[in-house]
Amino acid sequence: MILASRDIIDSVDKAWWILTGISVVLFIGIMTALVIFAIKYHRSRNPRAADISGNTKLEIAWTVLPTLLSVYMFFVGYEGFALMRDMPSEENSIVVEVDARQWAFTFRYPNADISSPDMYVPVGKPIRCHLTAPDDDVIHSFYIPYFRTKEDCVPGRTNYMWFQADKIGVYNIFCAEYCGKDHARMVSKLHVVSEEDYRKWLTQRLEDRFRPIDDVAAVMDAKSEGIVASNAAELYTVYCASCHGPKGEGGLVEGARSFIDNATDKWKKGVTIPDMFRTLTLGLDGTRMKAFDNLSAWDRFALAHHVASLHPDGPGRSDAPIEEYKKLIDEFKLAEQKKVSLDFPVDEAIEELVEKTGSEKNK
Amino acid sequence: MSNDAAALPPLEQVDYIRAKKGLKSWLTTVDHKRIAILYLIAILTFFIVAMGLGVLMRLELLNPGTDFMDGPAYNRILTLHGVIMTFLFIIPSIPAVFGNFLLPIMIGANDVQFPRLNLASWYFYMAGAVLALIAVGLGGVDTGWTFYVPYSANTDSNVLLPMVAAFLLGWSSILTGLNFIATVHRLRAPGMKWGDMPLFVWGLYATSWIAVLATPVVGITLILVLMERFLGIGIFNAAMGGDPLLFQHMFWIYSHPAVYVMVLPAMGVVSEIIPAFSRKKIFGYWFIAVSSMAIAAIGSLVWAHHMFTSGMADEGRVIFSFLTFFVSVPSAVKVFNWLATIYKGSIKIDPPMLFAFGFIFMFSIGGFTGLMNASLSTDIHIHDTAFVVAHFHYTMFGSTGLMFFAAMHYWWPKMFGRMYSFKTAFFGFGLFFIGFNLLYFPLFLAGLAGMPRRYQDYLPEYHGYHAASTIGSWIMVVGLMILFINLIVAIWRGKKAPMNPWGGATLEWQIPSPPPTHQFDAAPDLTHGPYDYDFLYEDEDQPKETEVKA
Repeated sequence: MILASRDIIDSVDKAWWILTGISVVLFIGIMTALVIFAIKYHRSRNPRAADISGNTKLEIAWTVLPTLLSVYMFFVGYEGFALMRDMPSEENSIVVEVDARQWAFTFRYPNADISSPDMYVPVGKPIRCHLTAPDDDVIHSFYIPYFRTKEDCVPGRTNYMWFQADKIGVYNIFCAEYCGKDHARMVSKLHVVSEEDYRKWLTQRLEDRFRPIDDVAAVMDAKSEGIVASNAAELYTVYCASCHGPKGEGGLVEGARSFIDNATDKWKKGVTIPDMFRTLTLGLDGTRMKAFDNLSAWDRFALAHHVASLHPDGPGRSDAPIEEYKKLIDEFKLAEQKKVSLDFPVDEAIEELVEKTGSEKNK
Repeated sequence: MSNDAAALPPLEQVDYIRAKKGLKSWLTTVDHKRIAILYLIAILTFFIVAMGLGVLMRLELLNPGTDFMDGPAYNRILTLHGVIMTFLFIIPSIPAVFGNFLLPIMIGANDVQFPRLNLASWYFYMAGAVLALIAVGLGGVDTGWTFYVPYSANTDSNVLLPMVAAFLLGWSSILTGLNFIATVHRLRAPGMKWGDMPLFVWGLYATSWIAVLATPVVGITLILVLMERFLGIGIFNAAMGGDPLLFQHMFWIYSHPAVYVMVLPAMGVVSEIIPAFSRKKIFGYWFIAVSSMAIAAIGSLVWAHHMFTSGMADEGRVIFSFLTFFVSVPSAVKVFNWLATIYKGSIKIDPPMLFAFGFIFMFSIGGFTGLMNASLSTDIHIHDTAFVVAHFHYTMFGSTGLMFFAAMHYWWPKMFGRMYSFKTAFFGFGLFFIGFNLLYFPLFLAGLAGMPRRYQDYLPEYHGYHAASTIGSWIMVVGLMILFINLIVAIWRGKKAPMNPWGGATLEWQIPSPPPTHQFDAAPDLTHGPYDYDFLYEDEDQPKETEVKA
């Protein structure tokens, strides 16, 4: 049976209290002795010091005792650690891919091809986090203080961590490994919601934003349902504003393009929506513009439309003929992501999981 | 006061400060005492600069949001603060200044084994410092003092210069270490056995071995990062089959033992001050001496406790946690021995002694909170939070930094031949102590509440901790400035210091204050040990008046 995070939290806190207790007792002991000796044996009261140069028995005692205490304290800390690292299997948990990059987390639900800058998980389910950072990025660390757990997101490898929320609520997520300019703003939220709300959230995401893109008109029109549902302004703030500025003024990191300046009109891959989609999907080699393929295709289109809308000349500047969109959809096989539909496996998986964990508990 | 030199009796040698005049005589000196003064000036200057940077960081953190420094500016200040404090202040501090000044004297030698190499170390140090300053002029660096890859391989900021600077500073450490080891082995006064050496010398000796053995690793690591950055050799680049964690291992193989390079000499200073002001033999001489070597040895095997959340194998984390706990044993042994030394002593609380008591307080807090970092489950939570910032400031600054100031107060009369105002020193220490604890203690709590470190901004729920901390920084800085000004003023205005103002038993108190260039014309008096204070009580139980220079 998988233990809940509550056990981990309790174990960490217990270890903390044991270590603190030992420390406080010893600290008070040391300081009291120091003060008493300093007063009692002050030169005004004790003009001549005693002739003592050591005591081997005492030395052995205060070497052996801290050694034993150290071994004990090691085990105290090991206990909670063992729970933390006792990862639930993928079948028994909800897997969330945590993509960390300068300077945002993206949470991906691989069973559903959903991406979100905030994390949503159902209460009472083990959540298995697969932590990564893009190869050309830097190290980050995924830290949820409430669950007393953290693990680094290192380029080129996948690290693992898990937790299980026992209370509905919103919790802080921080990046704990220094990652540069906006390290302090690499803050996200964990929404622990009821099983029902979680399913609702997933379903809505799928309905609104994660349909396959086979309708050219839908991605051409900035006001189409799928684009609007992506809430591009929020995505822009999370993923783009750190470098390109909250209003698209650019230059917040070296070489970051301004989206509003007419003078710098020659964009590397062009200024139309399909061009921007390509840039977002592939990144720009040799620059700090990364491939944002961690975002869903709808989100990338939404971002392209949002960027187009920032320009003072208006979004018309980024219009492209319909053929360009068709080419794009073929190029990235966007119409083929058909598996994503309402009867997608996550729902079933959850259903199954509820039964499984329920029956396990009954055992 | 101005005619001191003229007033000296003819037989008296001219002291090392007045032995020669002019800037050139200082910059080309091979006298270990003058080199110590060169280091002192440079190290104190850098300390004050980096402290100023720290105060700026705290000021930015007074309120949430950006007040006057944005992320990139804050990150540069943070890096600079860390690089200067680590490489230019705390690593060289006690060994380079007080080690240089006192190690030869304490073992009855006239200089270190290789005096010219000693001067070369200082030039390596200055070259590193100048490069670091040039890097600042070119826009600064934003990698943090740890230079983690891939960040340091990718950042736009100028990483080359500070890394070359750190490399040169490493050379300075290695050469000083070699010099000290050779000096201890070769130049002890005839008749001085290993067991007759003051414990400060043992601390320096242990430190020197770490510096010599571990520093090359960081040198190699920095060179590899530069090759990664400029030649793209891919050793740390995951996309090319390298591993970013390799860097962390290599970096901490040096940088963790470096922590003991910082703290062992400080413990050595404590082991000098406590018996001197207790007029009592140090308790458990050999246990303190051996515990220094034990800390050096065990401390070399615990580096990966900096990587408990890095994704390193769980087995590795377990082993490194287990080993880390054992470093606490020799540290505890030292504290108990100091306490036992005070027991039934004849204690006088002059400023150096008060500082040593302060060390025991700060080091205990720093050490005990280290247990929570060594312990696996608690470390996962507090790793890379403000808790760690508080912990290492208690050990590095509250302990080692404080003992650097203690050493200044203990040996200032010897180095400059002048006494300073005790009242001012007590007052300055009081402010420092209150300010320091107000500055760093709230950060433990902030860290436990989840506040990550190296954040230029924070959520409003952490405001209280940060505000208290910032106010503490102001009080602490005022205290420190009072301490420094008190000492500096004393050089010109202070009362003349006697040869042995504290009644110390180590050899530096047998020679004039300040000492002549050639300190031991006659063989030093080894009739009593370094902690044998009986000589002070020749006349019944009345302590002999400490000798005052003619």
